Amino acid sequence: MSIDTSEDRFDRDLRRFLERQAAELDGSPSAAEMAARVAATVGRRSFVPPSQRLVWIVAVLGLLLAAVIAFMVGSQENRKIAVVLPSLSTSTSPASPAPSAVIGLPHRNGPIVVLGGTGRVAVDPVSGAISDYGSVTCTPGGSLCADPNQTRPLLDFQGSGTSVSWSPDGTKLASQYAGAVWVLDTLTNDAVRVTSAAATQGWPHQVVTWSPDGSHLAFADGGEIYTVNVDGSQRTEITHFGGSLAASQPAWSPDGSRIAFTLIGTGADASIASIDVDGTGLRTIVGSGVRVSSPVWSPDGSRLAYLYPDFAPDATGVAGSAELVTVRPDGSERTVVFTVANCCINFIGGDAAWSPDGTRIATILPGLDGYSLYVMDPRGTHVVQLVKGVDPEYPAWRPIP
Amino acid sequence: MTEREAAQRVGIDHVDPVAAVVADTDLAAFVAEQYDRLVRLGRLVCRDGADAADAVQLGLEQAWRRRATLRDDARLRPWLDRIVVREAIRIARSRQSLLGRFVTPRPDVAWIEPADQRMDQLPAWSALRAAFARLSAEQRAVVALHLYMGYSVIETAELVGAPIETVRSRLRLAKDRLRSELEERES
Repeated sequence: MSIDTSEDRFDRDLRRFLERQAAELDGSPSAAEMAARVAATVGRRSFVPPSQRLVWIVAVLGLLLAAVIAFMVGSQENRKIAVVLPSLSTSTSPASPAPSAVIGLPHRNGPIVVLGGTGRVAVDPVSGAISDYGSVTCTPGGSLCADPNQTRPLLDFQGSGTSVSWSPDGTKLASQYAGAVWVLDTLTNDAVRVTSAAATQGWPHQVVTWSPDGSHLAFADGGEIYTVNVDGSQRTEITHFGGSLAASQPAWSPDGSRIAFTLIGTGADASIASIDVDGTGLRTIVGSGVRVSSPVWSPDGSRLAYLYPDFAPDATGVAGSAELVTVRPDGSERTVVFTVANCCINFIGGDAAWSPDGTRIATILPGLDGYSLYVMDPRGTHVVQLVKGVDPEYPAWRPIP
Repeated sequence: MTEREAAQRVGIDHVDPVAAVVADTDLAAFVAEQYDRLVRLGRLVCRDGADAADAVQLGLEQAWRRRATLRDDARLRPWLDRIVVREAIRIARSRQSLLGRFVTPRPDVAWIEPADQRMDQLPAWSALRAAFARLSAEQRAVVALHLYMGYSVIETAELVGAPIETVRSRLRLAKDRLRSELEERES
């Protein structure tokens, strides 16, 4: 947008800016939630905004006490974080998920790798600093090349609709490209094709997910979910929809027992479902009349995050909204974490990634001026807009053991 | 259709605890009618969705209590806007104080400038947004009321409780500052 600062045009441009700014980032509750808040206070005493409750004397006296409490609470939160990484078990009974094994210290958060305007880049989740994600190079004709005549590494390749996912140890990237599943070792730059053919169908984009012990991969092909050893052996079809429904975007649970995925219906609807790795215990987590997508697990396995696109125009007829939602694996306690209101008439894609330490969620959602990468607490607070203007795609948050 | 509405449509009753709380449908309708306009006004002044919601809640609660005497929309709307904008100014000013920032740290949406040279051509839009955020709460309020809500200068003065000349001055200074920061950036 160009802004004319001449006297007669500036008011007009300023009005346009205010209209967009007022609706740009909506951290406010919905009208229904506001009605509940008002209803809860009407009939009792008047609502007093939190900032009015601060009495100077109490604030001054409580200054040191608050600092000490904040420090203690912060320390306590850190101690609660534990990463659950059991071994993959395919013989687990559906009725009794594999017991979790809590090991060692939690993973730390590395950079978020996203596909940006010039290829995949690493984004620092705190500062927003952007850099190349590694020293991956490609010799024309080599295995790393997307095309024998090209010089771009295959995992940089754009327009192929591929996401990448980090191995649990943070050293390898798995992706789908050109009808196959690939694993790229970022330490040695070796790229290995795991499957000879796969990944012909995935909506809205293709996803490969790692088992928590790093020994298996899961991916979608032809509307079914498959698992395979990382060496390419034992390819197993674990869903059997037979074309009536199409499964895509698998996400392996942190306890290794289940795989969540997007299940696309025959119309414009989709669901989030999960199934045991042995192909039993299919369960719908979220049923929806719209195309929910991109399920990702929290590192402790207690919640799933997914995207809810609202294509319906708002009251002004301009645009819909995009929401990041979390839910318990049994489908209860659905919580809208983050909303970009008046963002878009329609959108396909978007994505989410839970930080390895479980304290943040990254999501890519559309706005009026393109897609942005947002990072926030799982409750939707402390939102930071990290990357904007290059339509970032496919966030993959690197774990640092 | 929002996520909650969709969930209700498919009969998942645990999804929307809010609906159970809002038993008074008249209240819900009243809030729905006023909320969108008010929260946008509050956000322009506060630069924060949660703070805006606090200001709006105060206004809606007072309006609901006095609804019998404020049925005329021509009276209700400016009356409600006045409460919300004054509360939003007060909250925004308290946030700017050192003590306010320490005692009530709150979630906020921050835009971090990308450190990559490939991203250094920030559009004028981002510059205007940053300049607008640097205005005082009082300046943002008069700009929002006059240019966004469409109130005249006289009406704006009544809403914020300031003399007309003061409001004219705030408007002029705010626009001059926004314009000069944009021109400085372009040069």
